[in-house]
Amino acid sequence: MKHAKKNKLSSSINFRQAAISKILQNPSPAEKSEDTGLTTSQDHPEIFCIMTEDIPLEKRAEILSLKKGITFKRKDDLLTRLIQLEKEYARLQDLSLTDELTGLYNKRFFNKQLQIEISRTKRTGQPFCLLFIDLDNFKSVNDTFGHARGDQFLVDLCRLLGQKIRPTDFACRYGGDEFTVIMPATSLTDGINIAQRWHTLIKQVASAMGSNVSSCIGVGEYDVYSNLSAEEFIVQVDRELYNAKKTGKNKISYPGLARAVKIDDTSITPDEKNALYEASVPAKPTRKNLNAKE
Amino acid sequence: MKNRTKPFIVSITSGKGGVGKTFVTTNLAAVLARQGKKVLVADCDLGLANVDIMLGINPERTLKDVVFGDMHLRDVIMSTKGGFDLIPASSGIREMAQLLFEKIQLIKDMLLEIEGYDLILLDTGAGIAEVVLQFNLLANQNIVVINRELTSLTDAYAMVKVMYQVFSRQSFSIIANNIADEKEGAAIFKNIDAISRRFLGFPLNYLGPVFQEDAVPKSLLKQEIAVLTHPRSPLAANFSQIGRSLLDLKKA
Repeated sequence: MKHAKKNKLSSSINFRQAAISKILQNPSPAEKSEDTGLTTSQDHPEIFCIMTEDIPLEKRAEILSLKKGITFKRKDDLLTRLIQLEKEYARLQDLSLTDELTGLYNKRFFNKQLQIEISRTKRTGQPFCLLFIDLDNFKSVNDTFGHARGDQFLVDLCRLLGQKIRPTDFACRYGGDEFTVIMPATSLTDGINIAQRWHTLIKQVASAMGSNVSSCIGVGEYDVYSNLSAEEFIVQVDRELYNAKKTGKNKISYPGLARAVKIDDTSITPDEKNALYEASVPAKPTRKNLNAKE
Repeated sequence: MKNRTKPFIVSITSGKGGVGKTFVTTNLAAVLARQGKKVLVADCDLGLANVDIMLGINPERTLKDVVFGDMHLRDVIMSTKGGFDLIPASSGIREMAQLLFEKIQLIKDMLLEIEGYDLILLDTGAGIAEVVLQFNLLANQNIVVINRELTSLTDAYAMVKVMYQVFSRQSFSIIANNIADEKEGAAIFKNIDAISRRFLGFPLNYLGPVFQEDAVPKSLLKQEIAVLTHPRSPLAANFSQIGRSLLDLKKA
């Protein structure tokens, strides 16, 4: 049933086009049902698996072997039942918490979980962190290789990220190439460290796939003293992301930085290190030299 | 209070920890106070505040009450035996070490509102954490304390470089602490000054040395201020000189 649903029952409403396989629970006395024109057994409900044409042959066998299907009662109108199922499918989709393409949590889950974490922080006093991740140059993957390859890129990337994520964190696809990570019981300094790890990982994964995709990450911390609503907190972290984006790409931005600093921009270069080393080592000879000059 | 002009704000920073920031701050403040200046010291080492410990006082209200309560900085100011006033911070509180930008901003805004002082000395934490950078940015003048160790030079240079790269600061003053004599101090300064000129393209300003002195560890233990307990020592002369140089910078 799950598989049948995935392949869009809407196309099978017109069941002339549908391949109807019959799995007989009880192959004995059968008769033609008047209203559906399908074979049903007199006393026991029979089970049909209704499939659309676009299910590949090998999958068909798999589905049949599951022996799961839609149970029809004798007096059921097949069309009505299918419409009902279609509605059910839409309802389940509404309730779904995972992103169809990547398998990460979706925006709906994110919004719910964010509320939960805010309440948790207020209760326990422990801060949590939120990351907004936006891929740089992702458009170029779509433009160069087409959207199918772009989608595949996202799927592969998210699978790897899913393997690396801390078990207590929640990665969500916020939309397009934008992701969020909720990190419960995490302080800002830890959050920034983890953001840096994600940043490096995305770059590694992308370059392993032969693409120049990098990421911008906005980081935010929600502590027990914060009075922001979930929406306001999202805006705050989104602003950090925007800050990183607008000052160039491949950056992490977090509160406390008046502007995004390019990573490793401020470290001391080997030349400078050498000069400092030379300056400090011969402290005594330098003094003697000075004396000699005088 | 007659002084209506804005106080001259000076940050005392180091890059590396343990080079004597707080020692320099309290002694410099005491010397300036003795010269008749009205001085306020703000302990901005939010992670490991220790001006209060160095002075042997146990403040009732601290910066924490400003950040997490509804007090103004003015409400936590207390007078000290050094003749200067103090805004104490609280030590070892995790949240304080990780203040959010907005809260740092709040402290900065309040510092700018304070009137009635000639100078405000900000004793920053070690390292190049954002909190430290923000207090350095607020100050009109940044004093970087160094000693003869390589790590101290490296970290001081890193601090100068970050302040230059992130905020375009090009004006820093150096104090060489725990130095054998005038010449050693001058040599160490000459080195770091040359590196700054070569790699960053601007010179540093030298405020002077602070000599090694046997009296210092003792006065630290007794929680006393060395320049007050040993007013005739070379060390007191060092700080007087530094104080005068700093006031010259203020005029300039």
